[in-house]
Amino acid sequence: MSSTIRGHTESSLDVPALESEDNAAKITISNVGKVFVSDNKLTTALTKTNLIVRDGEFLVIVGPSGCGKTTLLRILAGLETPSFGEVKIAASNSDRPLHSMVFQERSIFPWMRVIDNVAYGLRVRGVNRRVALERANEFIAKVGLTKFAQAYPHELSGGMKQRVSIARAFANDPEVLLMDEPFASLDEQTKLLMQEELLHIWDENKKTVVYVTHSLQEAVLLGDRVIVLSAHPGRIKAEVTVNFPRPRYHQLTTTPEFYALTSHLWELLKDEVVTANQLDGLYTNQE
Amino acid sequence: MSPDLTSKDGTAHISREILRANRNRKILHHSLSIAMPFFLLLLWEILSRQGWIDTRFFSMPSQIAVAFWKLIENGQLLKDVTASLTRVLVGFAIGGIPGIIIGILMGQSSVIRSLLNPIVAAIYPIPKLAILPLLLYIFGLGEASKYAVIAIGVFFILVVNTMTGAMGVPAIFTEVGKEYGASRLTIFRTIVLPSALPVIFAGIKLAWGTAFLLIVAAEFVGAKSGIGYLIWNSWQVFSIEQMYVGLIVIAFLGFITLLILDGLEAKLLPWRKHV
Repeated sequence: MSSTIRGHTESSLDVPALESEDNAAKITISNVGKVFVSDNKLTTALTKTNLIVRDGEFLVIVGPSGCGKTTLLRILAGLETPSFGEVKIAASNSDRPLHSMVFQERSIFPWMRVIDNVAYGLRVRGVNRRVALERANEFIAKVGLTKFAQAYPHELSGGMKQRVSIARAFANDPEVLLMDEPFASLDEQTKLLMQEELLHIWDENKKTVVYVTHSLQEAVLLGDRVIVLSAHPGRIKAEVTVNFPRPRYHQLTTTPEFYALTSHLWELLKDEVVTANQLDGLYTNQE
Repeated sequence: MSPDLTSKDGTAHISREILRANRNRKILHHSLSIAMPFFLLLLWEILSRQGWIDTRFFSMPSQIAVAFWKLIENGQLLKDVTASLTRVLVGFAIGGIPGIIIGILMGQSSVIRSLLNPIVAAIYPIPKLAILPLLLYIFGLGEASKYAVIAIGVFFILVVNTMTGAMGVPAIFTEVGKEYGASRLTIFRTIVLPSALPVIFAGIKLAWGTAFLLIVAAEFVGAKSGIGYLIWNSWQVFSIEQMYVGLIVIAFLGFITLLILDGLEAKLLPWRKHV
């Protein structure tokens, strides 16, 4: 497999340099920040952030725990309101929902059969039952669960439930797909399988994706571009473009180029992880 | 590994053996469970015929059976069972439906919870039998006082259980609803209610058992029908066999109705153990 790293650019994104760069902006995040109140004190979860996600781009956000990456995603999902700034998602069609989230597999409703779980978004939007079930069946087939369409989630394994969660988001046909560490609680082998399956489904329709993860390998394997967030308070520290050709498979992870890029990301992230864990003293002697 | 084991026939043979042993063990355990009560009854009969236990307190099973048959024949048993069951069902409906609704509201709204929780928490631990005299005073000796004691008893159990269920809906489920654009009402209907149902059902079963306890006690005092009346009246006329009939019938009723509730739960909520 031939793969090239076309290099990466690192910039502080406080400068809105990207805004003019691409007019096919799908998501425009301008000056978005989040402040929480805890113990009567204000804590900044995310400092003012500017970011543009291009149409059809697979954007991955990595960062240490508590860096605000989940906060940013939840703001995009409408589950948190930003304390300042605004998010715009460009709509191509007023019938389509702006965003659908692939939640972790424990988000699958135990009281609904697989088919009704997958059709949930469509039904909530008032899509006619027959049409919704048809669409759901189509995506159940895409994730290989046709035999389990009428099963209840407790009859499924963790990986199969995660497939239901993916099918639920894709079947809803949103403008933007949001994913918050969807595979974090799966075992390692299942995770590898699921990553390839996700790549496969995504290659079919190339939706705009914002994907949050801890895993650098996952970030490089899946993403077109990786945003590195810094620890408390969260801010964009760097961004790295990933130019491996698609479709991508797991063999990519064994190439030196892949290794070089993940190492580079780790170098960028390491200081942040050290800060996040308050291990500064431990590392100052070595550096 | 011996070729015997790996060959197809050898493995099949061993699998059959294992399955048979497993089945035999299950049959044995079932038979023991079923046989034990009959064995005890037989022992009871023999001991009382031998005069080793006092038949004034522990009637012979055969005599209880005779009394049972008499009560069925003269229609009194059916009348008493119907009376008790009607009281339980009416009281359950009067107290249970508002209990579930208020429980859900308290689970969903922190304002309503703040308003009502102190009152519920204060009244919940009062043994409902303790207010039976008050209820008799207010509602008289008729049916109303029976309905009232059951309604009050099941109401508080269902409020507390339903509230717990409605509050315990995992946040991730409601977030899915929100993210997918569901309205508050839709989230309630498609997520909060089904997610809380197993706990609500557990509350219903608990309340049902309590209702039986309450009805028997309520029928002891000031009733002219019902299983409780049958038991109390038997004591007053020293008809000890009849009293045992009453005990057996109330136990059987409780057992059967709980089986029905279990079956209903399994049918309606096949996923209940996996929320």
